[in-house]
Amino acid sequence: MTDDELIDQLVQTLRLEASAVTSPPDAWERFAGLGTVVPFRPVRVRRARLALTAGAVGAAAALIVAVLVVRSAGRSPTHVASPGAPPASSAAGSSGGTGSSGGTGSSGGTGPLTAAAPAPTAQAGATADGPGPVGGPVPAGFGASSVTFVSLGTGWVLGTAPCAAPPCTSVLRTRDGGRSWAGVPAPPTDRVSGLRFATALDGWAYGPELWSTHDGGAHWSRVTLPGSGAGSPVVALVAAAGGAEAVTAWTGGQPVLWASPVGSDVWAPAPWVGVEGLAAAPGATARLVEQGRGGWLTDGVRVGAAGARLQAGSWVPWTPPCGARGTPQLAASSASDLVVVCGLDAGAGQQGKQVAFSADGGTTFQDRGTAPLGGILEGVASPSPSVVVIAAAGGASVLYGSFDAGRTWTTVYRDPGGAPWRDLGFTSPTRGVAIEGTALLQTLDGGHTWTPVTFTAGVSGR
Amino acid sequence: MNGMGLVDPSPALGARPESFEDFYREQHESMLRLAYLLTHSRPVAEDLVQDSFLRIQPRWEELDAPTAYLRRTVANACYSYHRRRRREDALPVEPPGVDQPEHDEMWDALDRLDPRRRAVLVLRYYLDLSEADIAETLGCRRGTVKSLSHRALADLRRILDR
Repeated sequence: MTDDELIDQLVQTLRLEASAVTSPPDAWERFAGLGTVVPFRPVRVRRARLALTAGAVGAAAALIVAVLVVRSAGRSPTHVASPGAPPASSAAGSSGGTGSSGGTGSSGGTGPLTAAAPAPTAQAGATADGPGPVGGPVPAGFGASSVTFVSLGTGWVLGTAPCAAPPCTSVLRTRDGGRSWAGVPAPPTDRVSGLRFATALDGWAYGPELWSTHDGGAHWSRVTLPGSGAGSPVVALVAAAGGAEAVTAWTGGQPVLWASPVGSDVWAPAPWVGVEGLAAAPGATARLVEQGRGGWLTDGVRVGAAGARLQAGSWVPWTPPCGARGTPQLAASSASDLVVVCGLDAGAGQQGKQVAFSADGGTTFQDRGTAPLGGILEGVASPSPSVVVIAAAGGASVLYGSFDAGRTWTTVYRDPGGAPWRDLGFTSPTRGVAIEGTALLQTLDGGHTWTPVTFTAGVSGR
Repeated sequence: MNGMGLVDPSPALGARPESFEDFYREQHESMLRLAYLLTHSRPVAEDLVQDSFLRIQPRWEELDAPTAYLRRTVANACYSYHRRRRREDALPVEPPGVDQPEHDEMWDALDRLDPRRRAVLVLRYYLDLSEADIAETLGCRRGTVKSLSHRALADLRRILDR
C-alpha cells in the first residue's frame, strides 16, 4: 500500500465513522437542564434508629422502614447508538432517624431564605439563564444535606444556614456544574432533609414532610399522600423525567411506595405486592433500587434477610447475594448491571465489604472479593459496570474506588473527620457528587479524585 | 410566513454567534464527531463534549476564537480520558454491544494508536487543519506535529500489515 492509498483509506474511514454521529435533537435542552436530561437520582439511606423509641412501642408498632431508592433510567430514546455506559445514579448512606427533621438543626438566624423577586419565569425559549426563580445571594454558613442534578450543569443543594427565626432551610442552585451558586426559595419548613428534581421545573423536598415545586423552586407547596396521614413520614424519594416515586415509612399494611407524574402531584400507591417477608422484619432498613423496568428491594439491617425484585411490573420474592454473610447495599449502572456490596460484621470503625456483580439484573452474581476493611459501609455508586465507588465512615470518612470491576481498590478520598455520607452518585461517566457531613464533594474524572465544592456566588450563578 | 426557514444556517466567516445557545447548536455536532473519532465511544464523546461546553460557557464571550478554543478543550478532554483509561486497566468502556455496528480494520487500527498520534491524524485528515492549527490544538510545536504524524502513519501501516 502506498502512502496515498493508506491516507485515502484513512480519510474514508474517518468520514464514514463521523457521518454516523449526529447531535441528539434535545442536546441543547439537556445541556441547559430542560426537559429530558441525564437524570441524576442519588439515593438516601436512612437508618431506622429512631424507630424503636419507647413511646411508640406497641405490639403492632409501626415498622419504620428506611428505604434506599436508586433509580437510573436509560438514555432518552432519541439517544441512539449508546448500548453501554448509561449515566448511572447511585446510592449513599446517611445516618439519622426517619422521624428527624434532617440536618443538625439550626440555631439563630434570619428566617428561611427567600430569594429576591421569585419570578416564576418558565421561559419557553431556553436562555442560558434557564427557567426558575431569579437567584439571590448564598446565605452565610450554609451547610448541605442533600444534592440533586438534572443535567451536567443544573443542580440544587438543600441545607440549612444560621438564621434568626427558624425554619432555616435553604436551597442553592447552580447552572454551571457547581462553579457558582445562588440562593433560591426554600420550602418554609425545617422538616425536610432530602431534595430531588426531575426536571428544571419539577422538584420535591422530603423527609419527613413532602413539599413540591413545579416552577423551578420559585414556589413550594406541601403535599399530603392520600391515606398516609401525618404519621407516615416520607423516607425516600426518586424523581426522573418519567415520574416521581416516594416511599413512606412502613406502617402496618399501608402502601409504602407511591408514584406521581412529574408535572403534578397526583400520588397513588404504586403496584406493590408480595413483599410480606420484608414487612415482617422489625426495625428493618430496607433499600429499594429501581431502574427502568427493573427494581430490587432488600432489607438492609437483618443479616440474611429476604428481598424482592420488580419483574414485569410486579414485585416477586428475590434473594440478595449476601446470604447469611451480611446486609446489602445496591447500585445499578444499567437495567441489568447491578453491584451489591454486602456489609459483613461491623465493629471498631471497620466492616468487611463483600462485592458481587450481576449482569443479568440480579439472577446470577459474580463474587469479586472484598473492598477495604476501614469504615462502616454507607453508600455505593456505579457510573458504569466496571467502576464502583464505596462510601464508608468510621474513624475517617473514606471513599474507595475500583475501576476494574472490583478486582483492585484504591482510597480515592479520605478525611479524618469521620462525618457520615449521603447522596453519593454520578451524573455522567465522569461527574459525580457526594455529601460528607455538611460539605458537598465533586469528582470530574469519574471518581478518581474528589474535592470539596465551595458555594461561591458568581456572575453566572444566577 | 416570516421566511424563517430561509435563514442561511451557515454564518459568515468570522461571524460570531449571538448567544451561547447559538454557538452550542452550531458547534455541537462537529465537536461530537471529533470526540467520537478521538475516543471511539459515543457515550464518552457526548459526555466529554458536554463537559467542554460547560467549561467554556462562563468566558466564551471574551474569547477571540471560541471555536478553536472549544476544539482545543475537546481534544484535551479526550486526551485526559485516554490517560485515565490507561490507569483503569484498559477495560472496555462499553460492553460488547448488541447494537455495535461493524467497523473496518482501519478503525480498529486507529483505536490501537497512541492517543496523540491518533489525534494528529484525525485533525489533519478529517478536519483538514493546518500544521499550525494542529500544533495549537494539541499544545505542541509544529515540528512535533510533523513527527507525530509521520509515526502515526507508520504505526497504522504496521498494524494493518500484520
